[in-house]
Amino acid sequence: MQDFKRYARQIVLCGIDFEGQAKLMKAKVALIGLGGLGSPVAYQLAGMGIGHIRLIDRDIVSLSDLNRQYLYNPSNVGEFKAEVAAARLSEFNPEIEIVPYPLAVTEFNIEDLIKGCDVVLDTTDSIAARYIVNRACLKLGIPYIYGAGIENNGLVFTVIPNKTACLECLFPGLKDEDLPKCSNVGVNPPILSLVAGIQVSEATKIIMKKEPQLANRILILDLQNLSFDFMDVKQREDCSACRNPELHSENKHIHIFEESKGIFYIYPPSKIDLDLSKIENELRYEGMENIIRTKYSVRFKALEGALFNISKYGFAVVRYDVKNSGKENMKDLYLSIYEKILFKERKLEGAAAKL
Amino acid sequence: MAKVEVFLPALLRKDKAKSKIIVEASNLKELIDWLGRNGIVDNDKLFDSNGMLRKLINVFINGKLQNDLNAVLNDGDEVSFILAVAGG
Repeated sequence: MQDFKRYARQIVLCGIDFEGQAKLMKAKVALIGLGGLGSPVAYQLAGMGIGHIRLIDRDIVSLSDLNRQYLYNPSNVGEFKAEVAAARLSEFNPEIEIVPYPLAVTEFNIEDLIKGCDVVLDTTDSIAARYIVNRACLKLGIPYIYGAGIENNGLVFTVIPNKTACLECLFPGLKDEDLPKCSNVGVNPPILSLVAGIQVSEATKIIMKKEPQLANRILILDLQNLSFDFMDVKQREDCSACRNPELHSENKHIHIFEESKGIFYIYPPSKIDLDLSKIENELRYEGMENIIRTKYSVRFKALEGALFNISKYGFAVVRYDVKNSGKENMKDLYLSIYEKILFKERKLEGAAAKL
Repeated sequence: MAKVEVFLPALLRKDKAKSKIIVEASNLKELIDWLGRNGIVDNDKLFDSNGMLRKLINVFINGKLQNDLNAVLNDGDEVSFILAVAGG
């Protein structure tokens, strides 16, 4: 069978065979986070022939990503990761369907993003985003696989809704500022490949209706000492996510979030699907420079050299000179450009809200 | 005093400490004090500047989350210190 030839080396495994491969090829998977963990996860999912993969990430490619994020080349610096990743993986395996979502996960959009999926793999770098994904998976009854890595250490954990402990049973009440970041303490790239491989193994087991190994059990990896430790975990009776995984479904405001000095994200009101050719015309009319339009985004240079990336879903990343980062009015200036370009002919509901 | 098995991840341990050790203690606070006094863990990694257990450190007794330091320990309990990680 021609379709199966590509997968011959995994079909011979008794754990997969033709029946399992057919399930993989019919499966729908959402991968949230396309950084150091997401890169090897994405390659493995695509290589194994997962039939439909949604790639979700808010970031653009930076030079400092390239030591471990194998989906990207130096020429991709400045582009949305989701879009580059989708193009790369479509070349790698043209037999599967890959859909990029260059946007940030929020409680307003997460359900639409993962609806209909057989499993969700979480490889983001934000505990706030992870809580949102965990809750949406609980609400929709979709198995969720948490993977994380920092320094020489990794964690993997599988959540089966209504059956096992969830992420908030394990790590409740955290904020991103409570946790170390890879950008501060570093990450050893091989730990990411280890965590990624185990996440994909859990995902494929779930798709093939086999028992995952990390439900109610967390794996703690330590590359420095090469140790693999497990801890059995129990569902917490007072876990608010398990008891009521409700999320807000409607958002009528624009929000901005400053990632670091000189870079911020603009979150649109919910459910925007832009006509990018019209946006491009608007940008030219407004005198913006270096405009590049692709299928899923448009990027350009605005005042004072600021670089904008706007996805077709209205999510934007703005990078500007750090010398201007202390000037409070720069964000207002760029927000006004965003509103002018996107909402010239739309009545924006509610005033822009700043975080 | 209860005899318990303690798991400590590399991020908390001092260099030569083992990941799994047996400790005698009546409650979590005693256990943590013992780990600090005996050079097993780095107290700066365990506590913040106010002397509180850092938020990212989650303590489990027999797999159940327990961040109340007065929690009583019983013979044979497994106490695990797991650091939440969000990096991806």
